[in-house]
Amino acid sequence: MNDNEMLKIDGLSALQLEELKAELTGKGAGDGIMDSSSSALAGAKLGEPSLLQVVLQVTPAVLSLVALWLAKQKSKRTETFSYKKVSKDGTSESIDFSRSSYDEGAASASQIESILKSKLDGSSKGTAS
Amino acid sequence: MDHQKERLRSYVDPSTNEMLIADFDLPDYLNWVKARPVVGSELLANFLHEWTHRWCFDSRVGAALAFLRLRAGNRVLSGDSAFDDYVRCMTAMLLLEPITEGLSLFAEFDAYPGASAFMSQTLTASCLFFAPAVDTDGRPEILLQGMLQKLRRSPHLVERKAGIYAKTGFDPYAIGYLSIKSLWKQMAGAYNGFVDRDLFLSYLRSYIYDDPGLVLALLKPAHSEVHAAENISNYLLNRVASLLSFQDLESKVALWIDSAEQGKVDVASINSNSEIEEEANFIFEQATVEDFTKGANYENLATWTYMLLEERAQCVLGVMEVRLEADADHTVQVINKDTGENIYTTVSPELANQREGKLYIMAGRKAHGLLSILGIGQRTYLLSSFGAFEDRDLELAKRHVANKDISDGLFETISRKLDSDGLVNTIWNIVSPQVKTVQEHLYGPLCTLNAREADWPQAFKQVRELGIHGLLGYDGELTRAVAGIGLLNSFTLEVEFIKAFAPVLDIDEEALERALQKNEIAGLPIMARSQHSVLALV
Repeated sequence: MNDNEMLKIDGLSALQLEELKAELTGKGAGDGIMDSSSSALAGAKLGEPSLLQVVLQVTPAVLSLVALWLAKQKSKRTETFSYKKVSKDGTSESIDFSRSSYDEGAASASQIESILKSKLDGSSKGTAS
Repeated sequence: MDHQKERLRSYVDPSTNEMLIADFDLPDYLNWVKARPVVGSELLANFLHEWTHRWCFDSRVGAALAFLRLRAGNRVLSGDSAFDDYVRCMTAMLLLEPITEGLSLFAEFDAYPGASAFMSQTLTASCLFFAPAVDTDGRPEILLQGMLQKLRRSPHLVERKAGIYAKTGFDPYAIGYLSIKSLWKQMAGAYNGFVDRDLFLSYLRSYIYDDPGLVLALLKPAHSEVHAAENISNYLLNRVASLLSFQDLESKVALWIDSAEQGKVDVASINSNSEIEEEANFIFEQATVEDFTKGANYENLATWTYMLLEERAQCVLGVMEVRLEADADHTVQVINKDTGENIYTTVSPELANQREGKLYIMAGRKAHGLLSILGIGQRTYLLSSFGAFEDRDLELAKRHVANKDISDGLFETISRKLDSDGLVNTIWNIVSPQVKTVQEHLYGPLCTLNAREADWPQAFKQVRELGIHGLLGYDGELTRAVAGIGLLNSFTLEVEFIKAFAPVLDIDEEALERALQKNEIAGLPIMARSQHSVLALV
């Protein structure tokens, strides 16, 4: 894991973003939230409520809190999420961390943390043991 | 930092009424529609939302708003003053945005076929475009009930609705949905026929968007753009107050159903009259031809605007690049350029010499049919149709396809010019804070209609500051449980059924029990409970 890297999670509802922020700020890791935003519609368009994205500074504390938050999610809530490893130079790389990466129903936060860490270290080559 | 968006967001452009449904995969859809097997549609929530937007904007008020924005763009492009039109359009758009989003969310979360034989255009379209081919002995509402029950039991929809509860401030989705939901409860209390949520949705949409009085307020001359904005604001405040009088509601709704079924709403049924309607029609017609007399450049733009106003009733559901392969006897295969899959086979000497084009799948104005139109440059060919179409609809659909590339380019140019025009933006920045104040006057009482008279100001303040999620103590599981009860309410009020469905919705059972007891928070009623039934009020 490299401290210069960031993790971007896309596809959160406003409630999920609130819960993630609460998880991080409640445990003193609020500084790890680098950015959160929604996609704006250009012009005068009207549309569906936007899904949100959050960019997190990858530190051991942030990673374990994200894992804890993911472990609390019920089985079908995280299916819309996508994950990216973002480097400080702005380049990004998708990582396969869909729910199929782990048995969410039974996975503990530490299991999820370990898989997430391996995914970030090895990016798409990471294993989901 | 990479801010590239992962997924397109569904939208409707109110000016052109162009609709984009995220995740709509045209090749997949065309394969499905051949046999219409029984499968769930993940698209349905987005479709219900966006089609309701389209349906709202496909109206006399929607046309007047589109006209003002298009004419403002034309005038900026011609170096003329545009701020009067722009301020009028944006004032109404800003004031109506919560109602517009609220109606669309109500269609997603609540609309359901009821006792009335009348069916909203949104549900009609959903049934026609997404229902499986199952024989229901002439009762299409059974298919809709099945589709909607499946949707409302989906954990994804719970998350989507709970996400609305987490929004704070004057958010048009949250405030709009609360306003429409509160209106539904009050209007269903005043007239039992509105227990049918789909009928309520249809009537309310008509009350706002079929209103000739609002067209007059939008287009009538005023001393200045500030006065015009005041007129529109005052009109809408009075219009909503008039709705809340509930006077003769039952007879008005009966008149509305009779006239809507005949294809033209009697404006007396929506608290207006024929004199206002005639005046609104006259002033709108005059406005649309006004710029024809201002010189050649204006005439072209005015012609384009006029044509676009006609064509915006048509809906492109999807577009696909295709190549054509013909054999010696003029049998032409229309092939998906990306996948190489054959989409259509037709015999046409006319098409035999063509190599490529675009395939447009279009829905008719009243959602009674689907058209497949092949566009090659400005030439168009009808490949297939399904359902009912009037000749005029077909003519407009083909014209829309023929003009689309040129028209889209022009629309993009005028939109860009308009949104970056310094004077227009300066004036709107002066007027918009006043309009936002009116927004609060309008929606504060509306989104808290179920609260007691003495409680609503405090309830509104809390909703804005905390959101429903905050009012529920920032308890995510409780928030989801309240959202889930509301979704299930579209087809059941029975507590035992709701408890039985909770695991399907991924709702925590303990949180559900607590949600069922949440009668009121900070003066805002949350649940109406009797011994065996419960109704979510938010």
